[in-house]
Amino acid sequence: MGGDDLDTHFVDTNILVGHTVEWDRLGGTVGTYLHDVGQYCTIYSSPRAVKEALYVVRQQRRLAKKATEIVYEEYDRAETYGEIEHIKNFVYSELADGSGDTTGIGGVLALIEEKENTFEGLTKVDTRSIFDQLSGEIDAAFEEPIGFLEALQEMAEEELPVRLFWETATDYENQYPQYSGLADIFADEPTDRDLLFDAFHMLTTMGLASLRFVTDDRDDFISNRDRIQESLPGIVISRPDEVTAG
Amino acid sequence: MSDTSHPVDRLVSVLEHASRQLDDDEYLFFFDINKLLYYLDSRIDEDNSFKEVLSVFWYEDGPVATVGQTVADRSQEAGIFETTPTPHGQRFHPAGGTISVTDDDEDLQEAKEAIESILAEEYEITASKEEKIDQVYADAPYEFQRRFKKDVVPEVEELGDVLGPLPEDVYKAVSRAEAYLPLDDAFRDVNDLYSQYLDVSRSVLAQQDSVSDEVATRFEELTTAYWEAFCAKLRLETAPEDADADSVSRWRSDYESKVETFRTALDAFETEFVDDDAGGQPTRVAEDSTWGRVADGLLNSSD
Repeated sequence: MGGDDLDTHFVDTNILVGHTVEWDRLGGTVGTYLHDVGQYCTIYSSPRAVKEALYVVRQQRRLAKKATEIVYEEYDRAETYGEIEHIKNFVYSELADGSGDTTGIGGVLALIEEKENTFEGLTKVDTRSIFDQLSGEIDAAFEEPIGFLEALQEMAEEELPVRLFWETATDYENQYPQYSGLADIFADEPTDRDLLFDAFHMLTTMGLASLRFVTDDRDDFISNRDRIQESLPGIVISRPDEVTAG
Repeated sequence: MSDTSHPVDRLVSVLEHASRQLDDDEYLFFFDINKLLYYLDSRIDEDNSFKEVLSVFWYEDGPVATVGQTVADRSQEAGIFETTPTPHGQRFHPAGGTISVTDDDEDLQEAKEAIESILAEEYEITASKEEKIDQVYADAPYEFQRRFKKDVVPEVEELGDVLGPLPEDVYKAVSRAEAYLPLDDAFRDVNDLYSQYLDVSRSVLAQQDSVSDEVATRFEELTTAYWEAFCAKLRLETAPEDADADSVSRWRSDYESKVETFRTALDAFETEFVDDDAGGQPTRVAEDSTWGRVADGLLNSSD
């Protein structure tokens, strides 16, 4: 697989979250993209995406601890031996009921699998020490990805694995007439529109002929990409698996 | 002369009845008045007319009645209480005054009997503030409130004291409380502020044997600023449906202001006390690490 002909990429929040991991065994489409393409292309993002990525990672930590709390406080120890699938189903139902939103639960279920013995231990004995131990392990696990993203905001460009486009604007509505025209696409996630225009602003201010906007977000970007690409000439919306397909 | 007393005056009459249950050396704080109104609301029948004026929301020290301040002020005007200032707030001493109400009906009688019973059986005037807070937090809408007040605040207040907790233990208390943040989407932004506060806590407190007095003082201020921001949000989310639009607008502005205050304090604390010298390139974690597996599950889940 050679380099992409659109060799400057702008990545969205989810890709940036994925960028906190050194993918070896090519975990999913994001991991494959970062492993394969990252070495051939220059990857950019914006401070806005870093801020959103930090939010996503911290939210995962909150959900992970919430799962720990739910199992410790509410799992019926008398009911059954705490087999891991039963624990996962219990946590899924509690989190989905509590927040009504299943975003991020996939990550929490992966954590439960990874900490299988500890979560089973939580269901067997009513002791706070296991809860405290797990809470500490979760903190330790999330320290590096958070540190990675925070460092992106602080380090000199030449040292970064991802370059940040700093010259973003706060008032795209007045600069680009297309901004208001795309409002309906991003009604539920208005920050996604600002992120897209960070990319378009980078395209125009750096004088690029084209810029590949890489995103895993099917709802807003991918399903509306024809319209977005027509409105913002030079922007090419791509899923990570489309880029690595060659 | 009106045939019907103003609802607030009727409530003040109930508080007057409460004042007459106190011993000569007993008094109330404004905190107590709010708690008594809360318990009154929970004791009277659903169709008691006092329910309409006893709207309750949750705030920094527990439940607060929307008319609490009005009732306290009116009771002073009527001479039912006279106040003396103390470092812990104003004391409301029974002063023997009375308020005239024209409609001494069943609802008022039920309310008076309820307040009498509350003082006799449920609410101990002379208990410590911590005991009173603990009592009402059993009903708090979010467990995070109780955890933060009982587990985090005392540790933070004693940080830096000679016999106080280790900084590492304070950090662990802050960390454990993160598990109890509300799941409601309305709290997502204020929850993220807590996570940022936790990250800064780790940078300054974890693996430290001691901290300076300045760090301890500033960390306590930061913690208080967070609690005020959270409670301002809590007030918005637990506001009664019949709360007037002006109050809600004022509360929203207060929340935004307190968030800004916290952000400023957090940035300042981080700038002054967090060591920026992290040492070289930021590192990515291995795919088979805990975070690697979580990220894989997060990014590749079919939902």
